[in-house]
Amino acid sequence: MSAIAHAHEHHGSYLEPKGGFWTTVWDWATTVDHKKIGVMYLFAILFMFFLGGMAAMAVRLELLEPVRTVSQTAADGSLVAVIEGQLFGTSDAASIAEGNNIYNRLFTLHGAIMVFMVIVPSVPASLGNFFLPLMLGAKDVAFPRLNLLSWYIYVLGSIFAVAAIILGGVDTGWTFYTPYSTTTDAGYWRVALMTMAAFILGFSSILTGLNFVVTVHKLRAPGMGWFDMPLFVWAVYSAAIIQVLATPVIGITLALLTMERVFRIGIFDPALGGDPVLYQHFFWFYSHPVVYVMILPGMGIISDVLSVQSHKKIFGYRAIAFASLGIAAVSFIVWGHHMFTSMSELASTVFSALTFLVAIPTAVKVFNWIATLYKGSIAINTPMLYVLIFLFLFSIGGLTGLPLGTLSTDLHLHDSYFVVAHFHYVMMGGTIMGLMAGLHHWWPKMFGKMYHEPSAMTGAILVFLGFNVTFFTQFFLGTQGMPRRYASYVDGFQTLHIISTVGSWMLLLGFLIHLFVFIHSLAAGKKAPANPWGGLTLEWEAASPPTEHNFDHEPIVKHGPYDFDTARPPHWSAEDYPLPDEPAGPAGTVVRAH
Amino acid sequence: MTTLDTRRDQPLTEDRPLWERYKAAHHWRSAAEEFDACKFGFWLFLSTEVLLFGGIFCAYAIFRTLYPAAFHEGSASLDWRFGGLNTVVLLLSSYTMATSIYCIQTGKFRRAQVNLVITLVCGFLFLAIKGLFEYMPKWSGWFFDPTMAHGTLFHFVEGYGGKRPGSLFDYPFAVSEQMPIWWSVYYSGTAIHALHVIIGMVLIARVLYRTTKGHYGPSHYTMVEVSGLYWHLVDLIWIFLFPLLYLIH
Amino acid sequence: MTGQGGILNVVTGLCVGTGTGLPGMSTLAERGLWHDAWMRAEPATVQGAEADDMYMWLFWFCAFWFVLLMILMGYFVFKYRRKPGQIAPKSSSHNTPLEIAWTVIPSLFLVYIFFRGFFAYMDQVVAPGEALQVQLKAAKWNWTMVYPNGAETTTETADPLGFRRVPVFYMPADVPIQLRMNSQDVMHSFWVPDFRVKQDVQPNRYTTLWFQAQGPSGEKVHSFPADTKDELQVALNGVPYEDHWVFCAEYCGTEHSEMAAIIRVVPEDAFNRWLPLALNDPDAKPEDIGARVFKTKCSACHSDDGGVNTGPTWKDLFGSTRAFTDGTTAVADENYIRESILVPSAHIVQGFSNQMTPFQGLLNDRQIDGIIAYMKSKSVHAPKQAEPGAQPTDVPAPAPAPTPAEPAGTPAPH
Repeated sequence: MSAIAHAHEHHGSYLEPKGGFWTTVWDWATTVDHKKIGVMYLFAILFMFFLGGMAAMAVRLELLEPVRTVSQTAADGSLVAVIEGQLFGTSDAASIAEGNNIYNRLFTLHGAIMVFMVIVPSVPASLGNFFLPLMLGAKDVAFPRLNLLSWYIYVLGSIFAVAAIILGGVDTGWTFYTPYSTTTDAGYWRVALMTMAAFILGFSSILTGLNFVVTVHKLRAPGMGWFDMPLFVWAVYSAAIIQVLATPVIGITLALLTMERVFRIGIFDPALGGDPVLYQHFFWFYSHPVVYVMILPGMGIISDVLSVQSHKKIFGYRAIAFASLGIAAVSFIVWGHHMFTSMSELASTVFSALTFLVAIPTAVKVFNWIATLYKGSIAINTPMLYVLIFLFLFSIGGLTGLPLGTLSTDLHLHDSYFVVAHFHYVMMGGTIMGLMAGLHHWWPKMFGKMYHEPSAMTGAILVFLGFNVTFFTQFFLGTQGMPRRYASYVDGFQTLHIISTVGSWMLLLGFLIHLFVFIHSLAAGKKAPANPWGGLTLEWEAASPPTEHNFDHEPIVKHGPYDFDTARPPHWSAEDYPLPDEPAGPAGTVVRAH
Repeated sequence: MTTLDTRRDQPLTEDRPLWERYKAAHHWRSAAEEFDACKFGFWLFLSTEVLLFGGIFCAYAIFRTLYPAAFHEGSASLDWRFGGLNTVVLLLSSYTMATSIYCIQTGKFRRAQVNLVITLVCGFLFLAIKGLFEYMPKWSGWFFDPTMAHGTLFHFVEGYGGKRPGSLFDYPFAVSEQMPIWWSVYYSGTAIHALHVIIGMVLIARVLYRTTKGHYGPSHYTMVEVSGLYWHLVDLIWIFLFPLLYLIH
Repeated sequence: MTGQGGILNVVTGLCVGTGTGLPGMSTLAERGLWHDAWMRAEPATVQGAEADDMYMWLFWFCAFWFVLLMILMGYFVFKYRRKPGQIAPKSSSHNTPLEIAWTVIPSLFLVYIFFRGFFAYMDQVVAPGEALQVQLKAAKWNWTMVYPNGAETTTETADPLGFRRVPVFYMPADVPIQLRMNSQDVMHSFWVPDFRVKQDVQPNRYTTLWFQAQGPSGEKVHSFPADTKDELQVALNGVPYEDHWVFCAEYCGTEHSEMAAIIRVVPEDAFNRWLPLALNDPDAKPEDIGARVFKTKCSACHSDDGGVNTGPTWKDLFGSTRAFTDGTTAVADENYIRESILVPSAHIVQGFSNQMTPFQGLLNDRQIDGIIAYMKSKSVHAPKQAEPGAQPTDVPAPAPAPTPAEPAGTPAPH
């Protein structure tokens, strides 16, 4: 990369402060620039990720030992009951319940924060906001002020959630199943606060999705047809459709749940004639499609990063594009597979059959990605490492969905640690690893700084190893009979729990390394070129970091997003990227086409 | 500078009305494109509202199938005349809303404002009828009596009230056990709808205000169109709620 | 970590390893170490074995394709790593036959998986017609099993390290059992890992779960002192058993993780001996025993609230003066009640007919005492007693417990 030209800077970058400290704060607070909004989302999401992660660390710490009451002889010779192995609460007899209450609040906190405040907005709100207009060659999203409103709604929802937590938390699980959530005394109004937080966050999600759908339809650069768009755009677009259509259903569900909690309206209360399973249907009608909101943008990142880092046209572009849409569509008809043990046999059978349908486009995507590697020119760096990590972890996650979708095995595995392992593999091993790949891939573009590659790769390897140690053991815990949401357990599970907890420490270390790498990069990183990796999509034509208006002139699309065999990446010289139809450079460097 | 202040920075150099000097946001190629995109986006938003109410209709369908007797008895205690009156009121307001859009499109600003005012009045009327003649008596037994026939503005009817949702239900003459469910569906459906009526009225009030200031005209009336769409949806939802709640017995 | 031990417990836990579990749990055997690494123990039902086979098949299926894909991935990354100054050679980005193949072939596999899983599922959830019906009640945070004869949960046990006392549910081996379950409050879920089956327990409807547990292997045997007087212990002495954990698998609040139980499988004949004795919960108050017996055996013909029925109501019966069809009268005291149960034809109350089944040999002394206590609780004529067992002064002491054949010492009616 010795001869890469620097981007021309006619105007300052979007990050340049406009004046003094307070002017800059006001500028960011009232900005409608999608890039600034994306960056604000990014920092909020990373902060929430660490908050939710701390809760998880505490949960795993408690699970190092099972909780037992033992009889001990006190100093005066009498027998006293002492509690052993409990991390939370005091050690007198009454406090197994107290310790359990703390544990239950912690895992609820972990789930609620991670699902609503981290994973759902993770890729769309941060990288999606930043790069959707850039990739389309637009100056902003369709509705910039709506974008800012989305951000503030996210902040408001998060404040509600954090308030509920600080005021004592809730212990209903992030799924708020009735009748427990509507009748538990613990935190009477905190439950309402938390459900309202999720309701508000849902609005943020809807408005962002709406914005993206209109942007993709209406703001593509001249010459860019639907099949000239990067696959990241296809992925975010498909996810945005789900966001728009599915989120209102959780909205009404949470609204009804809150009314049930506060006014006892009775539609979920069996004592008044209501049906608690109805709540489950309403809840999962949204919450299943939303897992595809979580994974589709991550997959979109993989498509782009893999292609760019291999300098190879993505294999099966249309298949991946249509698979994204197909997954979005099928995601709406499979929600019952979360409820096999509470539905009739007929309903369970139907949902199981439909669930297998959604596995097919997912598998096709994985095959397409691996096929893209064939005869590529693959750079080994942190983004690529995270792509490989994603492929490894997400494949395990997806494949372990098979015994869960299979009726016979699900009767054993439902609500066990097997499910916990499965969804961590797809949500964290999928979406978060995709986010890490995208962050490292687009970091130079977003902030104009490079990061320290060896340290980042070390972090990635630690994250990968730590993740597997933490969660692969949980598959075994599940099949062996360990239920989920348990603060304690019977003998025989301890070894695996210890291994899992040690893995969580490795995970934490890996992420801390990444945190330091990012902070160091922002403070003292090397200046980044406009196109460090040699990508062909429009964002690489803009400066690193981009100017306020993204592009000096409206870009005209002259080649496909992955035409690595016929187009040279912008800002790269012929020496760095010798296309086969050109005259030979210095001896020994030309590659003839096969 | 892409901040919220963009619109307000435009200089009022001439004496032409604001709507003529309207410039689309910087990322659109033309105002027509922006208008097109805004309508598309708003239809998407309306679909989310439909799905939101879809949940309520779904709950209605399920519980009506499970407890037909309770639903019949509950529906019988609703007065279809008030519901019908509200339906007429909303239909009228939809008509005046559509007319106001037409007036702005054709430059008849005075008439547009009148129509918007009538729309707002209809909205108030809807809420007043619902609140005073439907909610209040059912909830508490207090009837609003504008004719002052009983000497005071309100009079109390023993045993009428108590038709409240869920565990608050306390209506001694109920025959079906699942009446609380019926009333829960009734209140959640109509209350969430009433909330949307209020939101719609806020939108229309803002449009009315900005019309007086000359923001909207034949070449720029995006906000009016969009508010009109919202109001029509609010009306449409009531068109479905009314027969399902009031007319099934 | 609080309490004594702390880090020591962690180390011990590491050393102890998997497979210790509850004494009496089946040990790793027969299905192979790899299966047992996943499932820890053999499945204890035929349907569970089907589910295990499905799982292991899926595991190998997934492992095969996963390893294949990862090897390909790793190989490509290595072989096609970037060399400076060179770009990727031209290769196609599209191959219709290949794409069709890798769409259709996985689909066919998925169809097979679905159907195989469906048929095994049907075996797991559809109970045979002749299954023994047992009721299960779930509440925060305990399980109660109600057997067909009215016996409720019996002995509680604690595991060696002081896990909360959990109920033990005796079950006959090789007999299909169907649980009819409902919850008293929130959602719970009944999971028996060894049977590979679970079902949610809901508050507004009954759900069912069935199993047919295989007989105990004989490794664990009840061994009580040979001279024990406890009827239950006598009946179970020397009987082999096998324990299976039951866990609540739907989050239900504070003590969700302590809401466990044990299903103890014993041979069918031992179970049949145990069942009638199980009505005598040693901890139960006589009144409660009586209430249970009333509910399951007497309420068909007798009411306890004054309602008219085939037999006399129990309300205000005890201590009242009864008038019989043969012209005599008697105060209804303990002895009279005993006689009415065991030899009902001896005295028929006026206005009723002689149609009550004698309960000779069907109820034991504890149950009869329980009935008497229950009747006392329903009667205004019963003397107020400060404690159970205190003898009222105006009623002659009941005769010492005789053998059921002869109610000795019956006072003459007066």
